[in-house]
This record gives sequence, C-alpha cells and structure tokens, in this order.
Amino acid sequence: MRRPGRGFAMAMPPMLLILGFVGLPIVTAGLYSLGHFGGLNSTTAAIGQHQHEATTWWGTLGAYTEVLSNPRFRSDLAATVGVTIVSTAIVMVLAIGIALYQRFSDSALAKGLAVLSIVPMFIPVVIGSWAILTFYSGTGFVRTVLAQVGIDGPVWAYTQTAVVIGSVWTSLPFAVLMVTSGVQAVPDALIDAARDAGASRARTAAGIILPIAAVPIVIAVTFTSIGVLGSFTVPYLTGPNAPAMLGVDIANYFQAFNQPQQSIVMAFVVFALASAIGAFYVWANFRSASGAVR
Amino acid sequence: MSRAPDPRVVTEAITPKGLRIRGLRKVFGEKVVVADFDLDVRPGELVSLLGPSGCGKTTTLRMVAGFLAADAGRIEIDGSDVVRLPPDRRPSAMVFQNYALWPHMSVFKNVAYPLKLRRLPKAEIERRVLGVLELVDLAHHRDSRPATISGGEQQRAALARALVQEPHVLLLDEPLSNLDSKLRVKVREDIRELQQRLGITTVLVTHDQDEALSMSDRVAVMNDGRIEQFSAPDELYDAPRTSFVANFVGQLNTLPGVVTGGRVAPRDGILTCVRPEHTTCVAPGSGDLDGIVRRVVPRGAFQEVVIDLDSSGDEPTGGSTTVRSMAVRPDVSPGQRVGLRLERPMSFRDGARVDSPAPTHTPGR
Repeated sequence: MRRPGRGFAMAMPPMLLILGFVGLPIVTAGLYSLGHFGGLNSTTAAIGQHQHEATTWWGTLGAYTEVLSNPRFRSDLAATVGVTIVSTAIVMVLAIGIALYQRFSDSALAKGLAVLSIVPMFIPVVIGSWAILTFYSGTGFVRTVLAQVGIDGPVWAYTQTAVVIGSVWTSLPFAVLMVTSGVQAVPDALIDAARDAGASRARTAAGIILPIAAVPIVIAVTFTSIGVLGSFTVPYLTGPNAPAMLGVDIANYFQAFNQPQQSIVMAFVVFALASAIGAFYVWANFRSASGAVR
Repeated sequence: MSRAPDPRVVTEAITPKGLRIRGLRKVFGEKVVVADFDLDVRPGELVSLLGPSGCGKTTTLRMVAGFLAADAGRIEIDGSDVVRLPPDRRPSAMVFQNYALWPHMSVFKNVAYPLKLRRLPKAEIERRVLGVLELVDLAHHRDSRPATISGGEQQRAALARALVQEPHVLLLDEPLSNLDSKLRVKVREDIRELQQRLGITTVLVTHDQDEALSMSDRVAVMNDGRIEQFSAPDELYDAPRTSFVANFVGQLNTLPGVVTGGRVAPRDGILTCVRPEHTTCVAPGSGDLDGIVRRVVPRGAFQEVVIDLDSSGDEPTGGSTTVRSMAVRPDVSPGQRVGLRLERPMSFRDGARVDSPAPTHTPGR
C-alpha cells in the first residue's frame, strides 16, 4: 500500500534544513534590504550605517535606488558581467576544443592535454591566484623572460585580465570534465554516419557532436558563469581596486564600509543574475528529460 | 514498400558499379583480423559477408567504408582505388547496425544531411529527400524524431539516408539485428526488393545465415579473417567445401568415421556429415544405421528427432553419438528403436571436403 505521508516525512529533514539555513536568511535579508529592522535584523540594523528604514508597511526601495544609481556600482556590475562573459567564453572554447581533440585523436598529446586541464582542480584557488600574480606582475616571470630578448612584456597583475585568467584557471577543470563526458558519450556510429554522409571532421563536430552533447555543454556554461559571477578569491587577490567584481564589492560594503543593507542589495542583484542563468540550466534539463535534445 | 517507384526519385537511375578488393589486410596488435582478403562484387550484385563474431567481416566492411585504415591491399570502386580516401570522399554509403540516426534531427533532416553537405539547392534537396522517403514508405514521418518511430521505421530511415546519396556501393552492417524476427523477415524482403529495383551494388555483413541466404546473390563465408567459400546460396548449402562452411550454414550431423555395414567405422580421420533434413527415420535394419529415439522436439512446421546411435548394428552406444532428423510428421516416439537412412553424405578430412560435392538443386537466382 502506498503511504504518501511517509515519503513526505522522509523528505522533510533536508527541506527543513534548507528552509532554516538558506530560506530564512534570504527572507530576513530581503526584509532588511527593504528597511525592516526589527526581529532577527535588529542587531545588524543597530550596527550598520547609512541605512534606509521602511516608511510604508511593505518597506522602502531606498537602498536599491541608492545602489543601482551609484556609478561605482554600475561600473562594478559591468565589470562583473564582462569578466563573466569573457571568462565563460574562453573556458567553453578551451573545454570544447580539448573534448573534441580527445574525441578525434588517441595521441599522447590529447591524453596529456586532458590530464593537464584538470590539474587546477587540485590546486587551491589562493595558491593559483598568487601564482598568477607572481607570473604576470611587473617583476614576474613573463616580463623577466621577455626582457631577456628585449621585449617589454605586459603587466597583467591587478587587472581584469588577471581576473579572467584566474577565472579560466579555476573553472576549466569542471568544464572540461563535463564537456568531455558529453562529447565522449556520442556513439561512434553517429560520428561514422556523419563522415559517411560526407561531413568533414569540423562539420561532424559542429553539426552532430556538439548538438548531441548540448545538455552537458549548457550545464558547463551555467556552472562556469555562475561560479565566475559570484567569485571572490580570484578577483580579490588578482583584480584591480576599481572597478571590482561584485563578490569583492559585497565584502567591502559589508566589512570595510559597514553598509550591510547596500551589501545585501548587491547580493540580490548577483542572485537575480544567477537565477536567470539557473533558469537556462533548468530549461536545458527539461529538454533533456523530454528527449528533445538527446 | 510494394508501391510503384516514384518517378521523381533520382535513386531510380543508379548506374551499378563494381567493387573489387585485393590483398586487404588488417592487424590489431598481434592479431591478424583480416588476412589477404580478395573479393569481387559484380555491378548490381548483393554479396553477403557471413561468419561468426570476430571473423573479420565488420572490420572488412569498415575498411571498405573508410572508417578503418587498411594495413595493406586495394579497394577499387568502379575501377578507382579508394583505399587511401577518407570516408567522406568515398562513393559508398553505409547503413549501420543500430541505424545511427542523429537524434537531434527529424527524419527529413537526417536524410537531407548528406545532400546539404554537398550544398545542393534547397528545392532539389526537398525533392530528392521526399522521393526517397516515399520509396521507403516513410514520407508521413518526415517531421518525426528518430526516437519516436519504430525500429523498422528507423531502419528504413537509415536506408533512405544511404540511398539518397546515390552511392556506387551500399554497405549494410547487420542492419536487421535489432529487429524482432517477424519484422526482420519483412524488412529483409523490402531491402532485397529495393536493392534489385535500384540495381545497386551492395555488401551485407551478417552472422545470420537465413539473412545471408535469403537476400544475397552470393555469400562469402568468413572464418579467421579469410573467406572459406564464396558461392551462390544454394551451392553454399548443398556443396560446402569445408566442414566449417557445412557447420556454419545449416545444421549438420557429424559422424566420426565412414558409414559401412550398418556402423560408423573410423578411417584416416574422415568425418561423415549429413544434414538433419537428409537423415530419415525408417524401420530398424532397413537404413544405413540404427539407433534409439531419445526425444522428439516440436519445431512448429516440422519436428526434430534426436537419436542415439548404436555403436554397431545391434549394441546401443549409450548416447555417445547423437544425430538429428527433421521430418514433418515422424511416426516415432522416445525409446523407440529406428533405422536411419543417410542421403547426400559429405566427407571431410582436416576440415576439407574429400568427396565430390553433389550438384546443387537450383543453380543461380
């Protein structure tokens, strides 16, 4: 006999955990951003500075108006979106290239590349970020080597370029694993059939392999972009002071400027962007489940 | 697919080309998979490569298609050596074992893809694709995804995709193995009818002897990377040149010696082989051998009688040599003593035929 109540009860503990430790803070943070300073927000409100208190029953958009009209925030938002798009694009080009190379070649180079591409996964982000700094700093490896042959090399430390390099470094392993698994899962016969039909390797990749591996590719794009969007360590250590990525901004407003309400507004903006990307992920999974893509 | 040919279908006008293979060789590691393989397929002919798993038949087909590089040898299609050409530049088209339809494309797009690659005008692509879809009776599924049509329809879609390319040689890699037995019979008749109507040179790889015998003009039986015998189906069955072919094509009763004086007598390693349908139950003492019926197995249209032979004319062997007889209504029952008449026996020594093969019943097809 089916007992729906038992299944619901078994699902309750993790749901309660999420509701308590994720849902509740989101709700209280949302209320705080709208200027409700009572209850669980009272301590934060007592410490925070430059706050906008609710003037109506539902609150006020004063903090949102302030943040969204702040030129510094807009510049940081643009930098964050820009770094996210560029980093994701580079990561996906590299991941798809490595995956296709592995699919078409059994060479030692292909295997070596595959192993090399997931090495960053085993190196802590802090270490990787410092390595990038020392590599591309004014007295770093790149400039030192180029100086030996009389070339004035670039200084990329503390620039958005370093943030992009760091983001690619940290995001590439997962993307390579994801895309490779999708590309490798395409049956040989489908590729042979394309070659038999007259398709070159490039046409086979573009017309057959990548569309069939669309779902893992979409998942890799989603996870990479959300990861870069909310990143902190890489932009904090390798990026410029301004414009800064929103992850760094949020920390600065919360810790250095003691403006938790503005910090939370920024977090909601990042959350909104991530939700849009997440909707794309859900759509891809839905298509996968309905068999329309695969 | 019994409808009249559509006059718009360009594939009606295929001019048959021949396939000639000489000295083809493929080695994987230490194992020689295909060894000095020669084969001639005449224009418009359907030839089957028949053999057990691992005999090299699919490897040979994949070398003809260009998916595998040959270690040595020549593959000539219409007189041109294509052995160094990549698959996309060979004038052949293949139907794969699991159909290999691209799941993200509709049936129409699957069939149209080869023509799209050739950058043909859109109108011509549409005309040719619809023509070939009607030829295989799939026009009503033009917008369906492969996952939403049946196995038989997928098979026909794969065939349409191959035919629309107007290949000089059509390659079929066990195309019926994923179909149920009834559908398999229908589809193999469809393929054969289409192949004969279009007159397209075809190579079929299969391990199913029924499939090979019923569809082919000639059958090459392969074993260990070599052709054991290349003959018309009737000749292959009636006059096998090796014990491997005799065993692989049809069933066989194997007796360890020669039949003389009502018993099987060992002689110089000779094996006497008789097909079950040429082994007839008669009254005890009136046939070539005697034995006791162990069981009678119903096989639908006929019955199979399993008989333990006597070691001599009157002493039972305890079942050490068993033969099978096939008959429509054998009037025997388990435990009954029977005589056996052996017709058209074949003799083999060290795998090779040592007597004169009987003439075939119906030469040519």
